[in-house]
Amino acid sequence: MNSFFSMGGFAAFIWPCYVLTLGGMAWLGLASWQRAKTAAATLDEMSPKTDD
Amino acid sequence: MTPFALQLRRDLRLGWAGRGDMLVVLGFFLIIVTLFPLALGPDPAQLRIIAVPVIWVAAMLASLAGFTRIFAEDVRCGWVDQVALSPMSLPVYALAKALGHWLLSALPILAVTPLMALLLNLGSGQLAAMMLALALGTAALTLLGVIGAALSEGARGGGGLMAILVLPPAMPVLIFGALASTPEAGRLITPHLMLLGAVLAVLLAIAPFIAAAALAESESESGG
Amino acid sequence: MFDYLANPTRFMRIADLLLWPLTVLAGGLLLAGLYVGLIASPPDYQQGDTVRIMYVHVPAAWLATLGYVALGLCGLFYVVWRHPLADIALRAMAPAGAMFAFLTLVTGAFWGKPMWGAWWVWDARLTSMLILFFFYLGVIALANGFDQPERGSRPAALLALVGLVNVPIVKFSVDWWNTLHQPASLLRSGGVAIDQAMLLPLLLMLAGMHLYFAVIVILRMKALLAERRITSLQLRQATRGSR
Repeated sequence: MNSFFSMGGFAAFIWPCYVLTLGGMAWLGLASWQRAKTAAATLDEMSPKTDD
Repeated sequence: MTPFALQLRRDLRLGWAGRGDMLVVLGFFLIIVTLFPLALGPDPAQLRIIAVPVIWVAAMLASLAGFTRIFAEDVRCGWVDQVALSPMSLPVYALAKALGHWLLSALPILAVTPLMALLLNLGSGQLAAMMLALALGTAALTLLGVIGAALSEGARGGGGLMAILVLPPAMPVLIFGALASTPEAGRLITPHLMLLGAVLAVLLAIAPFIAAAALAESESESGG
Repeated sequence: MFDYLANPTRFMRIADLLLWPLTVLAGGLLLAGLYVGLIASPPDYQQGDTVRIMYVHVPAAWLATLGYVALGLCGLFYVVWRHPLADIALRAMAPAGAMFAFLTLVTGAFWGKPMWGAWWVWDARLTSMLILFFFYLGVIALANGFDQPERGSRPAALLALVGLVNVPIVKFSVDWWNTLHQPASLLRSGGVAIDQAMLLPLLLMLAGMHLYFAVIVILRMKALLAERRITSLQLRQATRGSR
């Protein structure tokens, strides 16, 4: 387990790369999804409801 | 006279009437060049090393200052709308603007470059190569400025936006231009110069049409 | 196909159908890629474990480059064929592509430090990617640079179109510049002969990240289309109210 985290001594270089890449992807994904959700919700509110 | 020549004459007359703007660009050029010895120290040997890059970068940045003005007045007073209705096509108009701007802005820069070379202790042997390269380079830069000005006409952001739009595509011009300015063994026409010419040729082909397409948009937006 | 998708409502329906399958597929591929890349593959003979950075750096570089080509194509579709969704696609893709360009630069720096001993080197690839990042910033700045939000679509599309021409020029000029200024022996960026064992995690991550990109673009296009509809509804309500 320890050797996994230390990555042959290069941990300081490898882990930031993965954290930044996956973190960035997660942040972009979350932000995009929230934006889509909010917009859809607002649109639902505003659109005339068909009651039949 | 052709519409192109008429437009050019109009721009040259207006530019000469407002030649204070020309002096601002020139002043900016001189000031930027002066900053480097102040930052680096007066040692002539060191200044000679940076002379070509500094003159090129200073010319690029000083030119930026003038680009926002290229279409601004014409759009504001409705001249572009007139052009769109006239027999002159918008691409031809854009090309005339480019040539006019180069004559009014870049020629003065070229004229002052020998003085800059003196200030930075550049050898006289290199001057001819650099002037030739700068002539082509500023032409390419002007065409990029015409594109940037047409695209950003009506936008916020002013000078900063113009810099972001114009400087990245200008980097190949800088690369080839700086290389062409320092030729080996007295050859004036180098492959670098030809590559610079090639970039200029590409820009000559596309810039008028891109600018025209962008101006057509802003013209229709203002209710034309 | 692009004509078929031109109708916004139809696009939204198809996008909604595809969204979850694509997300699951992307997630699966990414997880598999991470497992193989970080655990189930060997370190490189020369570079040791740092080769694992390649599994995020190369896909990011691909996405940054392909993303900009896609941006240029959106510009083409918008300017020449006036495709109604092209500017929405452009606005959706630009920030994602810019992020991957940025990640390419950062992961490249982290790869460079152990490989070449320096955080940043002006080698051809990183320099080209830096300039590409500037191109992205230009498109984003222009698209959002007008007081009237929609006004930026056409300039941004034109700029992206010009960018298509510029990118090969930049690539060529930077390569030219690099070979002239750098001694050839020093820098072989990413000069890794791809071993079989390393090909699998690379392909998994490439596929996973590309599908992720597609998911992001779909999400952002949905958001932009909905926002556009909201704005037009608001306009309609406002004018109706003033009668």
